Amino acid sequence: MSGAETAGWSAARAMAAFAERLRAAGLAVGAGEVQTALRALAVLGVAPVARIRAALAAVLVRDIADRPVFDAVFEQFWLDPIAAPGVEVPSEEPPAEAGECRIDSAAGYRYRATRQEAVEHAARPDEARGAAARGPAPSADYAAVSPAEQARLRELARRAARRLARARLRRQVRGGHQTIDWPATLRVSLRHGGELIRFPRRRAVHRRLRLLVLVDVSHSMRQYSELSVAFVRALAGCCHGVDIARFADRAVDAPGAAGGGTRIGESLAEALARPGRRVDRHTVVLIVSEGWDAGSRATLERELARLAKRAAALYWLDPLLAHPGYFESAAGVHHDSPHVDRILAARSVATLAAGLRDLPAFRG
Amino acid sequence: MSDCLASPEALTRALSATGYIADDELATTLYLAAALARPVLVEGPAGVGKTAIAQALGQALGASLHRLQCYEGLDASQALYDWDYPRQFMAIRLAEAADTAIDAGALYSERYLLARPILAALSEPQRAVLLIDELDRADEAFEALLLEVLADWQITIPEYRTIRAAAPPLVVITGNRTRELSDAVRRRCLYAWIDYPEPAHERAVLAARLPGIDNALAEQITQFVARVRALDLAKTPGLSESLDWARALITVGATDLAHERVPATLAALVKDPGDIEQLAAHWQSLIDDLAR
Repeated sequence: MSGAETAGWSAARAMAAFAERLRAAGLAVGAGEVQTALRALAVLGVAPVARIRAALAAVLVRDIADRPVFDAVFEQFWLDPIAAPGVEVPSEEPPAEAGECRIDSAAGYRYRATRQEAVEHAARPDEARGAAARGPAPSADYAAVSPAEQARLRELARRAARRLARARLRRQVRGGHQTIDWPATLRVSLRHGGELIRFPRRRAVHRRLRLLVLVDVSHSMRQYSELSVAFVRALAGCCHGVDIARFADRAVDAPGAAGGGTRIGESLAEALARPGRRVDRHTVVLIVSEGWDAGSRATLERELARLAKRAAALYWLDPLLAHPGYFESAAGVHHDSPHVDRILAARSVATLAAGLRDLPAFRG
Repeated sequence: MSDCLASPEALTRALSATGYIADDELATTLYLAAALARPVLVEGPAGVGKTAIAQALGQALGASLHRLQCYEGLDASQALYDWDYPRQFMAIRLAEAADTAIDAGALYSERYLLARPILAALSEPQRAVLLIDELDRADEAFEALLLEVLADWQITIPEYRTIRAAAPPLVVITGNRTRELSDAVRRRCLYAWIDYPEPAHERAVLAARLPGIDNALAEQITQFVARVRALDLAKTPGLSESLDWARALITVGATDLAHERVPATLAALVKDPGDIEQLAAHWQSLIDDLAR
């Protein structure tokens, strides 16, 4: 890989195979990028590995969030064969960030691991402990979502996206019909010899807010979350700029900790600490979880406070809210947290629709 | 000028002579940007030296720097070019008064063309540096305007002609990630991420930017700021805040952080009332921690 010219056609083949490996790991690498990468290698000539890595990263990575995946694939592809020749690394396995899924406008959505995998992961017997045992038995409310309901959810998601992810600013731009743009009117009249022939208009700007959805796919959620997950998927499909992170049960490594289960506070901290994840005043955060937390309450409160401080709004979608047996069994921390702006019930499509209708509109 | 771009090392040296300390990864990306005539998209937190790259590049290459500050509502007439309507209007009136025919070709000529930063950078006979600052602040529609420029180094002016760059400018696009940039723009760019600096890097920057600074003070500042960045602040201080603070410390005559006037200079480091309060609350433990 010292340069396309010295290595001849093999550099092109190796680069194509490397690009293939990156694509399998979830990076959008096109033929154009592969060509540019080959040119970059030719320009650099013989160079240290760190510099080759920097050059390929500059060309093939488009977002810092993709960098850990790139580094892992780079090491597997270019560096591992030297240490252990003949060992083939399975390309289907995403090397890093397996719990992430990211949606963009142009590339559609790409999963780094399917939901099925997550569900299987969550269903492992050694992790299905703790909070899951305390919930009410699943009822017909939470049965699989029918095609008719899916259609309804998509419609709901479109309306929710308009509500959640748009803020009307005071700033105005050309176009629309709200007010007359006097400077533009003057300029137009100047162009026509001082005649007032047209009144250009201005309108308020709508700013698109980002949506960060943190989905609990733990074992305890699995039995109730069909509807919520279907709603999140519909949300991701209908508007761009949706960033989805999910968290699940985790094995307990800490000495003295009892039982397993979802530790929401730690999961939130981990999801937020990921490089490139943006939570600011233009981000609406939606947590989808029933709120049964096996971790420390103080940690969860601290993480919720951090989120609420940084985000435009913090909403919690709870699939168990409005369930008859719910409050008798266990109420999640979020019910009395001062940091959660609104708790939405997702027991059925109707309760979800009612909750979303009441959400306040944002003002910039 | 070409010497600086002979290799990534040469570029690193040229940049460091202007007071910009670039690591090998960033220097390689900038070197490739010049060699492959590709724009560089630089992202990272605020105040880590994204904008300064373009300024340092301009200085190192001896090239003129054209800066386009993006904002919501920015359009072609502010970024690419505009026609000088009052002067065109005047020319028409003068032609009418003199009773001569007005030539449409003369009306849409270079004489009445107002070059905005992008056109100005493309029209330079030598390679210029074009800084498109905070592109994520501009509307998504504006990105589409850039595509022709970034891919083909040309601007098509329907009334006039297509203007092609004699030497493709070095384009540095910065973003704070307030909005997701389109894939079309990302695909055309090389990508660089600048994070908060490591203490050793920050010390080198302090020494380069403030030649008179005491070594021990620079060391204390970098260690202290690294600890401050670990706190949960509304606005984490970047490299530019460290530099501001170091200047403030030098101005008040502090030789170490135990100096009595140091707490009064904290406003140069953190810019949020809540953060200042939090820092004041942690002040003693941070200083004690530093002394250990």
